[in-house]
Amino acid sequence: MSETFLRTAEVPPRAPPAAVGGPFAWVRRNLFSSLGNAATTLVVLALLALVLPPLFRFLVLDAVWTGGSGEACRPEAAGRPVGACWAFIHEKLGYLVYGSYPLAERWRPDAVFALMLLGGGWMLWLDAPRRGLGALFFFGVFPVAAYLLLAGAPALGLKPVPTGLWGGMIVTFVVSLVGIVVSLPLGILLALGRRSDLPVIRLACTLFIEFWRGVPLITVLFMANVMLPLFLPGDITIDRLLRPLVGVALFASAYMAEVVRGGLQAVPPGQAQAARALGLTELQILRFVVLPQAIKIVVPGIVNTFIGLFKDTTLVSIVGIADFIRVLESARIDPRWAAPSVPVTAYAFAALFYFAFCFGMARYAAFIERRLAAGEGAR
Amino acid sequence: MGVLTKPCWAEGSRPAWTRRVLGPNRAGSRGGVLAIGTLGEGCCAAITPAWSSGVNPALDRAGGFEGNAGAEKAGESDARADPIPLKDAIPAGSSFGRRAGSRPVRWGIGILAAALLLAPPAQAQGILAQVKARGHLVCGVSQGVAGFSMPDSQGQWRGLDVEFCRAMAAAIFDDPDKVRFIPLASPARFTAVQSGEVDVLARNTTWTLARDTAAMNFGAVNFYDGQGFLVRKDRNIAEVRQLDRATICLQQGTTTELNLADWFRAHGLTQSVVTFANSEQTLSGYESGRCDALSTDKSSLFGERLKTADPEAHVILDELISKEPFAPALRQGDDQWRDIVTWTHYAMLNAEEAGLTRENVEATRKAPASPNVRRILGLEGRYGQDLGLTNDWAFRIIRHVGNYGEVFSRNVGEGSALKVPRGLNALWTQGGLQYGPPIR
Amino acid sequence: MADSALAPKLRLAVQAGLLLAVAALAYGATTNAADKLARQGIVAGFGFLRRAAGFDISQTLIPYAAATATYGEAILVGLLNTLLVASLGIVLATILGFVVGIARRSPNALARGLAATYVETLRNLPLLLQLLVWYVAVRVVLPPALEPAVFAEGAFLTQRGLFLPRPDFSGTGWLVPAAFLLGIGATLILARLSRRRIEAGRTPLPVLAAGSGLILGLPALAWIGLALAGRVIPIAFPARGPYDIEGGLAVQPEFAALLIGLSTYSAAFIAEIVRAGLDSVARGQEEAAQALGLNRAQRLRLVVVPQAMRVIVPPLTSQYLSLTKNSSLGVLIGYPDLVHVTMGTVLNQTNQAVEAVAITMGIYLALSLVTSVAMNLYNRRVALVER
Repeated sequence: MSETFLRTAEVPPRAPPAAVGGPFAWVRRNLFSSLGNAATTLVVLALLALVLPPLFRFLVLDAVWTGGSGEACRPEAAGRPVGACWAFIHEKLGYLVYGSYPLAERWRPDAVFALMLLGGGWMLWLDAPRRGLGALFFFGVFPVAAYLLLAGAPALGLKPVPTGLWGGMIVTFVVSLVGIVVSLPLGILLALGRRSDLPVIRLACTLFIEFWRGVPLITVLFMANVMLPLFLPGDITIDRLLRPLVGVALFASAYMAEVVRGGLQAVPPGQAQAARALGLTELQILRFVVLPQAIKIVVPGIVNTFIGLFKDTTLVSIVGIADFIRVLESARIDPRWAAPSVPVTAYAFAALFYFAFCFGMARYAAFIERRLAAGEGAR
Repeated sequence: MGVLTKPCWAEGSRPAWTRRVLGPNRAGSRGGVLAIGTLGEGCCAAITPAWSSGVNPALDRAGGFEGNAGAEKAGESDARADPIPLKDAIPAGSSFGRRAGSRPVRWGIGILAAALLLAPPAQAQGILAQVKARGHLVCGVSQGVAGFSMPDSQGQWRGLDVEFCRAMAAAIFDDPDKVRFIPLASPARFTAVQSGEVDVLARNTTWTLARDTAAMNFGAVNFYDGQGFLVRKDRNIAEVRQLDRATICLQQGTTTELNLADWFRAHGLTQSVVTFANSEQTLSGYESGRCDALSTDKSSLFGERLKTADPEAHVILDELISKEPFAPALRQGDDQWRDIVTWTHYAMLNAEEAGLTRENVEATRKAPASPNVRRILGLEGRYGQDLGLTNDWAFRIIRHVGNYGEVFSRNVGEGSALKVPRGLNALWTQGGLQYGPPIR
Repeated sequence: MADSALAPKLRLAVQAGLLLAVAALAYGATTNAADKLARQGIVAGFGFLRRAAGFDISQTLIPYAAATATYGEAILVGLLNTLLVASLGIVLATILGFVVGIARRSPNALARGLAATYVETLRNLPLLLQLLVWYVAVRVVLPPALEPAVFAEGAFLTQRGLFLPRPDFSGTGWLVPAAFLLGIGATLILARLSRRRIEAGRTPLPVLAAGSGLILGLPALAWIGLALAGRVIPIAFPARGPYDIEGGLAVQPEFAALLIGLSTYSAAFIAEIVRAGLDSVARGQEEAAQALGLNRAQRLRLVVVPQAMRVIVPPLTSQYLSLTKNSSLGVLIGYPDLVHVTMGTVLNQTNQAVEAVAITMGIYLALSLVTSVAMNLYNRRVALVER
């Protein structure tokens, strides 16, 4: 026996759900989902309202774009509130880029910049044709050509320009490029050495890496400055710019070695075992199987190391090398451009320069990472 | 290789040039590095370099030949590039030449570098000879002190110290542009002199006993300076004593830190200091109000004041708290070079005293008024030759660079933006300290 | 890895070669250096540490008189300054870094965006530039030396620093800081007891309330007790001098700029580490906690962050180390840290280049080692929580 219950009345239709798509739903979900959330939103909005308009007014609306001296940027002379003094940057741009590099020879650094863009683009564009050749260009041809162009070669009709005259962005790029060009191969060797099963080699590489990673770069630069000349025999002198370069290169190599070591560890051991089974020699295994995979994995790490290196080049200004920061500092106190907003303008310009470069590189590293991840997923 | 051992620089004469060559020692085992000096007359002598002392052994060891003694150490240095082509020094076909040229290099970069490092320092030549062979003078200057040494917007070096180097180049080469300037930071400057990186250091460097004994010599004082103070005009400070309990901005790495602490302590006063790594930060610190005074060499204060937003709002106190005689420094042990450095300045002083200027010197030389002028301009005596230069050396200096007064005025004095008063740097005839011994 | 296939003889030769090359390099460098130092008349060795220094240092944590203090003491002053700014920097950077890192996973889109902007901006600008900007900012924003902003009785703020009253704990006064430390110790024990109770399934103790009471109350009690016993702790109040505010506890602008710059910069990196740590915790954990009825703060504090710590701690260690090393950049803005004193002043005045470099680098290496060991110990504890 069973009883059957039948519903006689229809269930009333439910109210439609609140919109799950569209801007209103997004705002509700992301900005006002709860009381605390709404409060956060209001606080952040207030903060932005407090900061952004004055910043925009300073950088753009009240900025002085033209003028021949600090006079144009003084509020009492201009008769209005004065923001950033871009006229100052405009006049000093040559100095900021080239330092005291002779005017007539400035096409040479320009050529180096062009070569750098070419080589860098070739290396970084993953689908570029003949990337092996690009690497050869960047690590082999480019440094030699850049040196000849910048330092001069009487045999080629290029007037010698002593390194004391180099300055500004030239020096910043020279230091960071030398750092990367030397540290990558050296870092790979050190990373391999640290994983070697020869105890002496392993110990030497480990000590080397840990030493440089344990001390601040500024002490390395001081050391290079005062101690390198001591260690060399008497009549060999070492160029003032070369000293910090040596320090930076050794320092960067240690960090690069750790990045590369991470990549080597990420290559499954089965890869080397399979290659060994195929009868490849150890050198061939390294060259054709392990390193290509490891390097591919560590490209983002290398780029990030390079960003760090690029930022760290500012430290050479402390040991008296006329890098971008240093020439900016000496341009900033030019009495002809004495105006209240000039220091802030100078720093804002430097911030834009470093940010554009570092942020661009960081985005690139992230792009590579995503692409690698996608590649892994497809396999 | 047969080595002639006939020392011939007796009685005050000196080798006109010296150079290093490779050659086997008499035992014939390995190459030894020898220094050979010849005189104008064509006699020559060979000596071993003094490895450890390293300063002009040509004079120390005159007449001594110690081929065997030097050979063991000398052999280590033959992996290094030699300054003169081997074929100039070694007879054709000698077995040594082949051996040295084809010496197999088996070891990797590390060993090569080690060999490079192992090579002991050798400075076998007089500095003048090195400078002449090189074709230009290498002069250490500051990284930028207005009025003393600073590159202008075209990258040309300008300043009192720079003109001193140009005067030396004029005396040696008759060309004030045959000089290369190396900007040196404070801490690095002395190593640069001692290691031979620069021939002369004209970098507003204070002459002190400790520096003089530290393997360096100093020429004549070309600027009498002292440590001074830059203060704000509206604080109405007239003397240093009033800075008791004040905060003072300094650049580190110089004697100013010690002088300041000494002086305040000696006068029973107290002060706070803030020290910065470079002059830009030091000036910013002072100007932004972090400090009440900026202290450095008085001569630099004039330049620093010009860099402030409103130079009229700052004054430089008259009082000095230290003696800072600036003199060019050179490597110890080369008396000839020391004479040249010293007398380059004295020539400029003598010229000012005798009224010789860049404009009138050519005309005066054609009709010299006094015996003194005749001697200065090299028309009488062999003073220049005895110095290792030509007799018209002082004339060259005056013609290309000018007398001391001209140089002073042009770079730091009335004719410049700095407007440093002549003060102690006036000629002795005008109550100053600049006193040039007579050229006779 | 690859070298195992080498012939034993070759293995030996390669290693011997390396040893030989290193030895030859070291020998060559040492003899050259010794030779040059001898020619410069510099006596190698650390004897100079006992000579009188004769220069002033702007910030000294221990008594230091230029007239009598030795170079060794000057270096110690520098080291203490480095440790002070580094330890405070580590605390501030960690707090700020966690806040920003958690904000990057906030449900609020604006907070997420703001945190991301913060991280990207500060990470992509050189620290040196940031320090210069902070230093200028500190000096421009604050009032001039003789027109101070006065907060309360005896507290001044000018562009030459923040001046606060300073109690003098010498004599019997040491009881007050001792009571403070005692309070911290008692709170830690309380926290441990509370955790035991939770694990045993009982109600937790009110650690927060009791702890703050202990940490603040004990020193206050000691203070009052001493005052009642007739030993009032003297307080040095800052006062206006002819040029400056004088006396009291002075926080110098160089220190402030370096501390702010260091901690905000490092916080950007720590935020990224924290974000990665949060992402590493399985989503289910938070959802389960939500299902149990925990609110967002509780979920973070009790469920997500403890698990994320395992991922966070190792990179955090290296971040702390690099913060310590980065504190050496204070040399540019005039903060008298270890590098400023040894490599800036001592090296220049004594010309003992090798010794000064060796001391500085040795100290940093030792600091690195100590920090690594301490963090490894902590890491082991955190890792053990995993069951």
